[in-house]
Amino acid sequence: MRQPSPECVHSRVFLVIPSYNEGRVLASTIRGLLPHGYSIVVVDDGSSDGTPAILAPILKDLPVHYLRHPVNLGQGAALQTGMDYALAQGAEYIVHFDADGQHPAEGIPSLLDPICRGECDVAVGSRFLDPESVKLIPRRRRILLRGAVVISGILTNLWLSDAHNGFRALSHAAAKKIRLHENGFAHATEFLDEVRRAKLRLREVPVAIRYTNYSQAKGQPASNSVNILIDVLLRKVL
Amino acid sequence: MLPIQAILIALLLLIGGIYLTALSSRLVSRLALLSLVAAGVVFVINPDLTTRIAHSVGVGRGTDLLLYLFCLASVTVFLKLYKKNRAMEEKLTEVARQVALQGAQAPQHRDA
Repeated sequence: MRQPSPECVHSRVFLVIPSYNEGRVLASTIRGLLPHGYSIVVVDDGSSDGTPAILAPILKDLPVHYLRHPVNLGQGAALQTGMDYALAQGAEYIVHFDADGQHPAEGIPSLLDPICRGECDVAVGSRFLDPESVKLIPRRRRILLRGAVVISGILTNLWLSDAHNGFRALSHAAAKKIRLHENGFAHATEFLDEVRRAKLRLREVPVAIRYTNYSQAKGQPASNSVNILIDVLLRKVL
Repeated sequence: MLPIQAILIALLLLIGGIYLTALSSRLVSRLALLSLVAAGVVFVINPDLTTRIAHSVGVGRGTDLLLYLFCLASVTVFLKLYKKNRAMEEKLTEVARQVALQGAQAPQHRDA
């Protein structure tokens, strides 16, 4: 077992958690993260489910930064707002983390490790590097993701094993060079575009994703992938 | 003059007038609009003219030629609106982002 390098101090690691109408599950995600000692930035993307009220008792005595978009903009926009904030707060490492708890907190050190060692600037989680975690992906989603991998590879010229995996980590310098203009879910492709444009070193890290009933019900339906593709193509052309 | 010709010419002039006074102040687009309205009036008064132009470029009827041009114009307008919408969206995002950043609640501030 490798030890994480000493310069990778937890308090300098900022988790950016975009959340839209996920107040309840977000609260339990935050509780699960607290023992790990990271700084937590919640970006409430104009939720209408009473997220501020649900979070209020938690926020009162927990070390969580809370930001709120006055209107709903999309996950890409929320991530960018959270990154702007974290950088201003002196974050040295930024991790994109999902509100619904599908990303395991134990995966954070594996993402950060290669960055802290200076081996890469950006690390993205992959569900396809470890045969055991591939089995956790529902079959239909697996087929969809395989297709997305090919399309994303063609569009960004970055050939990864997984696509649209929202579990990512960046160094301070990398986060400053990346700017997401794609407000919706197409930001995942744009993110890779930005990585390539800024000539950042990217590495994939095996991470298992928990497919809970909640995340399955709430997650993007397969039909949405066509929408995302159209967004991506339009952005490329116009 | 047929009744439809009078109606079309009146509407053309009305739309042109509204556009000129209210919607655009750029000289290029004003000139383009004026020539469009002028062409419209000419074609309304002399419908056979469109057919002759159509024939000269290998299209059967003047109506068809107008339809093709209309389609092209629609797509252009769609793309322009899409671009404009994107620009608006980016501005809205920037405003909402600034509001969020200014209203950020940091842990230490809540204690005070």
